Amino acid sequence: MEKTRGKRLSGRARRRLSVVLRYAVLISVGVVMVYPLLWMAGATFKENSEIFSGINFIPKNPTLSGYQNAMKDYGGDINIWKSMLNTYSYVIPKVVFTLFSATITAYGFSRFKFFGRNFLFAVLMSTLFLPQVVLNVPQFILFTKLGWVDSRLYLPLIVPTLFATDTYFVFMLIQFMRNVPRELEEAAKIDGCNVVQTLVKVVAPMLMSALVSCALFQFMWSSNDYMGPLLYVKTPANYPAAIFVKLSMDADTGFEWNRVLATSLISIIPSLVVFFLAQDQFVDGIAAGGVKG
Amino acid sequence: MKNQKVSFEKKMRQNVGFLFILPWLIGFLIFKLYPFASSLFYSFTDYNLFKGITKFTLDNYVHIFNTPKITRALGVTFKYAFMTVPLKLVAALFVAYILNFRLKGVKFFRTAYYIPSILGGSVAIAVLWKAVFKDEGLLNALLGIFGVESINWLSDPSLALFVICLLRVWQFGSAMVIFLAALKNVPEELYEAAAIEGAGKWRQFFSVTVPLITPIIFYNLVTQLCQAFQEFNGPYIITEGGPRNSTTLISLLIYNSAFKNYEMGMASAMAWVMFVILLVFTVIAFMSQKHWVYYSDDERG
Repeated sequence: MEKTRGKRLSGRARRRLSVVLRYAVLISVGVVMVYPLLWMAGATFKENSEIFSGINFIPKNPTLSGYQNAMKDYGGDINIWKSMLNTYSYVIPKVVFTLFSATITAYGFSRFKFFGRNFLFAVLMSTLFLPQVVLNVPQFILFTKLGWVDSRLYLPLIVPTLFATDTYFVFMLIQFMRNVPRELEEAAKIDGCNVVQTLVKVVAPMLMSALVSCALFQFMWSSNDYMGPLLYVKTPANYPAAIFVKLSMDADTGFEWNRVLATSLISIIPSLVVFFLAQDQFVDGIAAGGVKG
Repeated sequence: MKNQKVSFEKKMRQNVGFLFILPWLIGFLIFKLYPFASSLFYSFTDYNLFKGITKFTLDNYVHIFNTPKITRALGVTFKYAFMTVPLKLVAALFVAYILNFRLKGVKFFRTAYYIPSILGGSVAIAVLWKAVFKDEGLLNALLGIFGVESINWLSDPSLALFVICLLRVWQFGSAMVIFLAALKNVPEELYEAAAIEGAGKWRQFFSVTVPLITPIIFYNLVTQLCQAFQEFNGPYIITEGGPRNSTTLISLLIYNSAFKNYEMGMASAMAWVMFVILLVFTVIAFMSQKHWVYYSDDERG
């Protein structure tokens, strides 16, 4: 009796110790993950001489000079706000077009049988593993011939999304559609809905959370994309934020880190806001489809 | 008559399905298959964007394997992939395993770990990475507090690649979330059974958890490998391939050759060499599946 009690106590103590250990790991990993970002935010309010003098993220003499300098035009053609406007002027069409084209494609694959379906589905899946690096050169030549390079409308970045070229999203939506019961679609058919009406009125509403996830990921990935604009945007006035931030870092001789970091931070604020508003959607989407990134 | 109608309807339905996927098919042919095939074709030519094609040749491939700078870049790409992928997967799985215990504040930690994955691909974060690791950067300031001498993270050729790797490893959040979802599906009873048989937490992890989530490990492995081989932003923005080409991944050489020198043939050949290497690894991974990946619908698990 005594002995078992002793054992139980030590068991409890051990459990407590392991809880403490787990929290210790979680917190120290958390610091590594988040502190650089916190420090970055703090550094934007520091004087340049202070930024690398210690590791504290709270500025001693807060200043807005980093932000004031970050607002300056670059070569008269582009500044941070313009570049962000440019970014979202192609990110938003990309998101909308991807949602449309990926939904239609996923619907076709998951709800219909047609000649060559299995073969085409295998093709679709294999393009998930097709590295973009192999496609860059001919795509660039193609877009050059079409006269799309450096178009004000960002055609090389936007037009492919009309054709569900980001197959990852098609794959993700097919995964979701597998779990959507077909009875409602049968009922809609009996009620006289045609296939398009069924898609719009029955299937799409049930896929809403998956569609939100797709939209969020496409938003993030397109905002972060650097290679695309690097290849296809040449006119400084059309530069998106990704290019602008890189330029503002290169232009600096290494002394104005508060300006460089302020520019960087401003450029990711929309992404941060979207993430905090919709973080559960991200996690659900990633968990259901399995995600790259 | 009725029969005919049915078969007509069936045919309609078939065509309708095809119509739905038609946009994708067109996009695939124009933006994927055509570029894929033509880059193979270009790789056997001396295609220069301004001079066009003057001859068909194997020179590009000969050149690739005879140029130390290129073979070295291939080696660096390997090193990068085989450091980054295991480190990232181990970090993701380990943290997911801890998060899977019922602890308070799990959601908070999950969010904190996930942010770098969301932002990590952006130029802004590459800039931050440079600020952290540069010679008078944040990390050396931290080491200074402990009296450790500054380390030349980015200017020492033996360390720079590792710093670039860490940027990717730091983004383990998305792989972690996938693991976490998989861990939630491992039935509680299995742990209980293992505990009754006297297996400790670590034993349980390796003999219950890991085997059950091998399909997810496999999925993460293949996708991460594909991405690691194509890494571009990190080295391009942070180190520009230096110091002394120690972070020159093959993707940087492809970019320079195609979009700085406009040697489209040469760039295509390098891209194809990289593609074939990646393909070999992917095929090896797929073939190795039967030795270590257990799918729930077969009984070996």
